[in-house]
Amino acid sequence: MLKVKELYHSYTNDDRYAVQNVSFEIQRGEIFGFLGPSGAGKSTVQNIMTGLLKLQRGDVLYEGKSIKNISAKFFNRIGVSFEHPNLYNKLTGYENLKYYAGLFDVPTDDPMRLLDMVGLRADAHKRASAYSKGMKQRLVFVRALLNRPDILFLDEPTSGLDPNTASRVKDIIISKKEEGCTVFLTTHNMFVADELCDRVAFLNEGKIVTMDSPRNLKLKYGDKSVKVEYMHNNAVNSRIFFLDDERDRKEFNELLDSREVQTIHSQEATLEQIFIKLTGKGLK
Amino acid sequence: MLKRTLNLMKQDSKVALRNYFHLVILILAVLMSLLINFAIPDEVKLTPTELFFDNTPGKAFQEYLISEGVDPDRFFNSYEDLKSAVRKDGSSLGIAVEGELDRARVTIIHQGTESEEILNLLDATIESALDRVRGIERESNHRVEYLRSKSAPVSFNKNTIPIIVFMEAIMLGFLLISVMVFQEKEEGSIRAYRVSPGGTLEYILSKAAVNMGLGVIYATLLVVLTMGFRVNFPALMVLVALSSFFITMLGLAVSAFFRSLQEFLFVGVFILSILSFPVGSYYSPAFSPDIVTWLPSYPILFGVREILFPTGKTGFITSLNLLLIAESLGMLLFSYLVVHRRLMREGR
Ligand SMILES: Nc1ncnc2c1ncn2[C@@H]1O[C@H](COP(=O)(O)OP(=O)(O)OP(=O)(O)O)[C@@H](O)[C@H]1O
Ligand SMILES: [Mg+2]
Repeated sequence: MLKVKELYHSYTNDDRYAVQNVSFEIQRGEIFGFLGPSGAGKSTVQNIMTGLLKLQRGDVLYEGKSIKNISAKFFNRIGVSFEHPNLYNKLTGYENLKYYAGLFDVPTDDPMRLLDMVGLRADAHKRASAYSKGMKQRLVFVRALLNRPDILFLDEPTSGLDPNTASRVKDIIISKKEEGCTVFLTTHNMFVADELCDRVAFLNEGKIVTMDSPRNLKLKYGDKSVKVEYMHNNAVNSRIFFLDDERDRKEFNELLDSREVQTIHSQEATLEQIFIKLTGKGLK
Repeated sequence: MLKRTLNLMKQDSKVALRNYFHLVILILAVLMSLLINFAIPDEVKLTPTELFFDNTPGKAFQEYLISEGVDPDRFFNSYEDLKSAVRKDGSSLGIAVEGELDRARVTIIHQGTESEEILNLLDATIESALDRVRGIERESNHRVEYLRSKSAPVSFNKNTIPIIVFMEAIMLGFLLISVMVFQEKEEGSIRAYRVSPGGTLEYILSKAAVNMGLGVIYATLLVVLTMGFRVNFPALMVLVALSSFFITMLGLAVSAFFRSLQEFLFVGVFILSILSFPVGSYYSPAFSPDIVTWLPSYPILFGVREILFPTGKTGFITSLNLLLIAESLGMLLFSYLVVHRRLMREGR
């Protein structure tokens, strides 16, 4: 369905790449997650895939056709939600959707129904400038759904949302998948990635570190980890040790010897812990 | 394509309304018409006021001038009085005539700001006035011929209407379109547009149409308020619409090179000033160097005047409209390329 081949991108047009040698494939009806810390290059990849950024090197293929030769009609088939809400502030939420719907050549969804789906019905006739950050985020999210797209690009769709609304948004994404929609989702929230994605790619400093289903990643990297709570300087600390890792094992033993340990739990690793293990840094 | 453009126009006009563009235009039109109708005088004397001291025996010069209708208050009884009066009024000139009428000595007290030409002209005028006092009639050997049938002179205040139509109804489009573009850039709404099937041409045409509408409404309103209904409004509307389209395209193309309104403003105001040079030629037709007459704004300004105060140059308006259509198409192509390459291709 969608194939990204050896993508490179430099904002400075030199060899300082924001994205390097990124390749992956997404199957029809799949939710593919891009997980990585801030500045990893997630949005850069999404922007190249949607044509907002110029393709410098590599290729993006939709059903075998390069984005370089794609016509305006293609945009009838995709929906894009942005990380920074970009709305007409002078228009109301409803007007923003109504206007955007008018840009498509294909049947579009009822704006009110979409607003309702993310709890914005009551604020439909307020100006977007009067919306809170989270409300804008939701409006941008449903705007991406207007044309009933085949492919959805979602850049941080749940960031800044309260748990309730975030889970509503997640439900909508899952129902889209069930309708056969292919989803490219960008996030630095490992729970979102874990819950929603069929497969995730870990992106760090512009490069893909690993790529698999969350379950496989956990099986592959996440076995035999223990969470230890211990006293240090009169405060409770906690730390995760991967027992397959020699250094971790040694430090774990040292900690046991120090007798400062309070609790020990063996546990399934989270994607974040795996990310830390693979890159040496967290997702935030 | 058409449906999408109409949708965009609806959206652009809504944003324009919410930006209060229509109010700005309404208030400006009313203010300007008040200015024209009540504040600007019908006539303005552009040459200095002459003050006199006649020290010839019998004050024959003074008598002659008063008989010709010169205000008696403009005569003084001593050279010193005249001098202090000239000093007080910065737009005046003093003329002292002394000695026998036949060999009168004329002294001109001036502010130092008058041009050589004005002083020479004054010299000649005084000399011929003195001649008449002396009873010498000179054979006048000049006659006046008009190129066209003489048209009624346009009063000074009404004469400013074409300038206001030109500067505000037409040139305003240059700034309004940049405000529109920078607002969309700032909001990022243009990025959302770029991932929709909407194209560059529709984007441009919609904005141009809204601006043309505003320009036409403004011009019509202003002219109705100042000149009533005895004007060829269809011709005015066509000319304003075409010119406004052209200027809007120019504004759009220029704005696309800048990131923010602040950065654009300097260059924008510079271009606007250049385009306003023809106003100079309007007031003193002798000021029309090629550079000024070549400006696209030059024929526009004189076209507006021709429509409001016809002098019978009928072919002029038609050829001007044709020229504007050609220029607009050229400018549309240019701004299409610029917008397509820059505005629609930006990284962020
Ligand atoms: N317009 C730009 N000009 C120059 N550098 C940029 C630009 N946009 C992004 N970058 C750089 O490219 C790198 C990747 O940025 P990108 O926005 O893709 O990261 P991200 O993974 O989406 O981060 P976040 O989670 O914060 O959204 C960063 O180092 C960033 O500084
Ligand atoms: Mg990002």
